[in-house]
Amino acid sequence: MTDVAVPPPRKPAKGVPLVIQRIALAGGFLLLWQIAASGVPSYVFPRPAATWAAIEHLFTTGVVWGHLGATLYRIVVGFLLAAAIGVPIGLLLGSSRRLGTFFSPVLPVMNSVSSAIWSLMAVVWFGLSDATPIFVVLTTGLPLIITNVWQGTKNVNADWLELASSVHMPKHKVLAKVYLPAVLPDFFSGARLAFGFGSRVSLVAEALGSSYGVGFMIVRAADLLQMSHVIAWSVILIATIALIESVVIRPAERHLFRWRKEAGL
Amino acid sequence: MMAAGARETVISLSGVTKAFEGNAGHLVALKDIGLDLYAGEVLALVGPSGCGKSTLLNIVAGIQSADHGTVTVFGKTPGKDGSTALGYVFQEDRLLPWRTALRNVTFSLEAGSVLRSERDRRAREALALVGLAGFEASYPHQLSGGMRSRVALARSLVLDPPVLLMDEPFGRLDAMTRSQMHGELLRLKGLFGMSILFVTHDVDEAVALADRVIVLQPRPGRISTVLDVDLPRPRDTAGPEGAAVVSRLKSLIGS
Ligand SMILES: Nc1ncnc2c1ncn2[C@@H]1O[C@H](COP(=O)(O)OP(=O)(O)OP(=O)(O)O)[C@@H](O)[C@H]1O
Ligand SMILES: [Mg+2]
Repeated sequence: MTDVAVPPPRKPAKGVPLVIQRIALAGGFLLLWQIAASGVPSYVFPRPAATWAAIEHLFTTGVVWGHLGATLYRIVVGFLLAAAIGVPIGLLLGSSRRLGTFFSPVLPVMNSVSSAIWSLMAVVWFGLSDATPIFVVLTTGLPLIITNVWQGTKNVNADWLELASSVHMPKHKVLAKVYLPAVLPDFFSGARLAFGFGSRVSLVAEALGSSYGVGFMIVRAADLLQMSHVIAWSVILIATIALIESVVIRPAERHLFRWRKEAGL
Repeated sequence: MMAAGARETVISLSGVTKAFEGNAGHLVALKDIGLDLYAGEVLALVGPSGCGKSTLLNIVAGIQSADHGTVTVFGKTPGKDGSTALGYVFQEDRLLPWRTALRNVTFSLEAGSVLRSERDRRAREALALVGLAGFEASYPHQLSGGMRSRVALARSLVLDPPVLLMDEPFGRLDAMTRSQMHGELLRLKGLFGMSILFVTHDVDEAVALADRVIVLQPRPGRISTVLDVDLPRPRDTAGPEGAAVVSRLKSLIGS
């Protein structure tokens, strides 16, 4: 990932540069992998080189694009639906004590439902369609986003609400212009979680209820004892999610929170 | 002294009482307050900390409601449908940290249905009036305390309000900036002609600005004295006449 932290400014001369540290970490990991996999058949645990060959194969044949695209599409749609539904609900629950108290038991329950259960239900309801993984990503992400946005409303300063009421601002505008910006930092923590969890559970859903996509391909590779492909698909999806984090989510945060006073690094 | 009968009353309070049930128990913040604000007048409320000054302004602004008594602003009950939005400069600047100076000022207008281009134009104008042209794009944390107070003032002025409620708006400024702000406030009042209900615990400030001063006493907050200030403007509270009024007021508060 590209989130290379700024090195501690105090004593720059001391210690190994971060880039070298990261390279060493990756090298050590590959070495361990190599050792662990040596003497084991490739269909049980492939070596790094075999996995790399599988990744290359998926790209050169072009197989990767359709499945990766389908999976990303489902993750993104499920995530966006979770955000579109979760933000207003979180704001409403947080801005009205009565609603908040009434619905407070729902979230822990929703949160503790396993994504495998959601997946099975989705298969029954939606069959082998895009809707199945989308539904599972949505149901996994929704409580995370609601909880964080709800939590964020506690940061809304009562002074700002008085200001809004002094200029006779109607409630829906107060939600959009005071609550929403104030909870945005918490929304982003929720969104990161929802996106991360969503991308993992989408695989479960695809494995159980899809005939296309990364999750489906992983299960098929496992059935064919192509362990190198199982790992290759996993690596590709993880890398893609990390890439989206660093080129979409982080810059968006940086832009949205440019008003923040720089904490003295 | 003042031809009160000839003037239109814009705000009228009578028998206003307000109590809080706080951690400190039952606390009567305001007791039997009656006062009128006349059109075009600057009325100062002075009193020590905790005597209910902010509570009084909140009631007039419709943010809080009185337990007893009647409050009318242009004949309507504040906070109810059809009541007029007043300019309220709070004790703290209450700027929204994620909005630029310009967007903080437009906030007041966003409650209604003013077009965005019109909002921007009026907000720029208001910022220029308080001497902040060129700082439209600055975020609150990039402004000094005095500049933030001015943004808060502009946020109220942009409404072109018939009444300005001001709660120790210059309380945290240094003496020099403060007297400069007094001059600007009176200049703006000359331009817009609004009535001003001005809260302060600084007697000099009250004498510098007000046509009339109401002295509040704490626990329970009640009116102890009303004093007309018949000094010519511009005023010099350090000069002999001004100093006389100041010391008279101080003795009234002390008693
Ligand atoms: N929401 C509240 N809950 C409980 N008590 C309150 C509340 N608001 C105000 N009070 C109490 O009412 C009294 C008057 O408060 P208020 O803020 O009006 O004082 P003030 O005259 O504006 O003081 P200062 O000059 O320090 O700003 C205080 O004793 C305060 O503790
Ligand atoms: Mg106060």
